[in-house]
Amino acid sequence: MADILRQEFYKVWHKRSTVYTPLVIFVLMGIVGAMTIHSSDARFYISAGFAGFQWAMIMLIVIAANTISSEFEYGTIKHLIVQGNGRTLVFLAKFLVIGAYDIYLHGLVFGLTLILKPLIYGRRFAFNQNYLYGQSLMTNLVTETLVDLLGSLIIIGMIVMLACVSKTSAVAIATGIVVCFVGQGVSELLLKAAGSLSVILKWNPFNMLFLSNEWSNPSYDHNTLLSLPSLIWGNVIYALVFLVLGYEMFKHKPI
Amino acid sequence: MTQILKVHNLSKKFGNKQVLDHVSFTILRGKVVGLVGPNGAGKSTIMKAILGLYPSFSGQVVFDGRSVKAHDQSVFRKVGFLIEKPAIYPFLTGLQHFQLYSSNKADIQEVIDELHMNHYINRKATHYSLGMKQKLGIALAIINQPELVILDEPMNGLDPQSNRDLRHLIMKRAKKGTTFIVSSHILSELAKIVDDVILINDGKVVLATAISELRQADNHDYILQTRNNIEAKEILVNNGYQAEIRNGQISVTLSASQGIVELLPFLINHGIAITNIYHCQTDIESILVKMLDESKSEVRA
Ligand SMILES: Nc1ncnc2c1ncn2[C@@H]1O[C@H](COP(=O)(O)OP(=O)(O)OP(=O)(O)O)[C@@H](O)[C@H]1O
Ligand SMILES: [Mg+2]
Repeated sequence: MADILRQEFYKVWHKRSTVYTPLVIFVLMGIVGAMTIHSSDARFYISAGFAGFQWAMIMLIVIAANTISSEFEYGTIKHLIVQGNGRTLVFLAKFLVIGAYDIYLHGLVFGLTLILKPLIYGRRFAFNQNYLYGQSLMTNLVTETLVDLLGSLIIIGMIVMLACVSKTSAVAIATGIVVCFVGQGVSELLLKAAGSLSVILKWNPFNMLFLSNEWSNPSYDHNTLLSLPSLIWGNVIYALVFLVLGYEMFKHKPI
Repeated sequence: MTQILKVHNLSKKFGNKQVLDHVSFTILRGKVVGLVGPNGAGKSTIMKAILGLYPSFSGQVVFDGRSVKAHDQSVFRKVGFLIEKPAIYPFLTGLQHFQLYSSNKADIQEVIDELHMNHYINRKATHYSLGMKQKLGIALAIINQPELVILDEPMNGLDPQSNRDLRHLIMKRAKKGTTFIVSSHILSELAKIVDDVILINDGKVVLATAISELRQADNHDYILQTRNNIEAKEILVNNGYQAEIRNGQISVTLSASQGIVELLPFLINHGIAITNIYHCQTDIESILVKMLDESKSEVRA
């Protein structure tokens, strides 16, 4: 296991995208920041990491799908399996690397927010200033980072599953990005149309994407029909289900 | 000599298609074994099945005394392979590939020298030509001192010099005790290096034998020219020889109990004037092609 993890990180380290990703995220966050420089809502943008979490999610979708699909495309999966001692360990290693990347990207957005805030707003909006729920701006940012990290699990699970089903990464990436952007809308439509069925439909996976919204704005439970703890559990359980399904697909994926 | 690999009744279906049909063979340690057969015969499938890469197959593979199970590759720590196409990450250089899989610098440099890869080893693999990638794939199968090396059509895309390099590399390591399974349809290339040949057709083992025996089998074909071919053929056939007239010459195939030493006086005694005789040196390739044809007609019959 140590060996295969070393190899995975070696590959990540030597990919050009690993260097570009933080740069791109930095630039995109900077742009969002620059556009909000006179906004009255600046503290919202700060606590939301200048939309960096959304950019990071898109990057992560691409990286996660590719890290699985490309091994099959390059034919390197055979070596991973034979030398890495079986498909289960390879799957586990892939998941751990994607998970680590997820944590890294969230840390990155958090760190970049710390750097960007003074660059954009100067001395205004100190981190210890009070923001929502009687908590400081910093606490809000930390919370947002952690909640977004938790919410990303369900997306990761879905991407891993799709990458294990399809031949190329394109399907997984496209689906992942679409779900990220319109998933919430789909759930809203579903629930509006559902009527009495909403008792069941509120558990649809797209509804779980509201986790971060409901966390920062508890009144969202009118939309989601789920309490915050239900949403948290829903996210975790869906992520696990997707991962288990993905694992089964991976075990039988033709080489 | 001890056996390193035993394949017993290996069968594999893709959907309804029986791709491998009770394939059985044994490979001895230190041998170079050629897996030969036409396109689609099942060579690559056999190699993948040996490595347990299929979630499901029936039959038994024993490597180094241990049974191979699907989803358990722990027995293969000491196996190197190149199957179907070289396993290469386009974003890594050749050298980085070696570093990914091995930490033994001397070992790595040796392979790089043997395959003359020095001048491009620091370039990204995405810029490699077909043959350069192929050599890198071969090199990756060879590093880490494997006990068994499986090479699927390793000559693919190699120029004559690289081909020679590859043969030297295989023979050198085989001498030190490494076992090789090499597949190819360029049979003549293979004939120069292999000890044993396993002939595969339609997912079945048609023939498994030492290459020296194949050569011997070949030694029984003679071509005769006489003043009276028709009469000579009659006499030969009537006396238990296998003979026929082809292109105005008599072709004779001697059985194991018949020798050329007896044949010549026999004809002369019957008053046949022999004007020319020569020994057929069919190359190994045509022998195998002939055997394949025979196996196909057997199936049809
Ligand atoms: N994943 C698969 N799904 C369906 N059929 C397959 C699959 N892989 C191989 N086959 C079939 O199995 C047969 C044997 O294929 P294999 O690749 O082992 O042949 P081969 O002897 O290596 O041929 P070649 O010399 O062309 O490399 C072929 O008829 C092929 O169509
Ligand atoms: Mg093949």
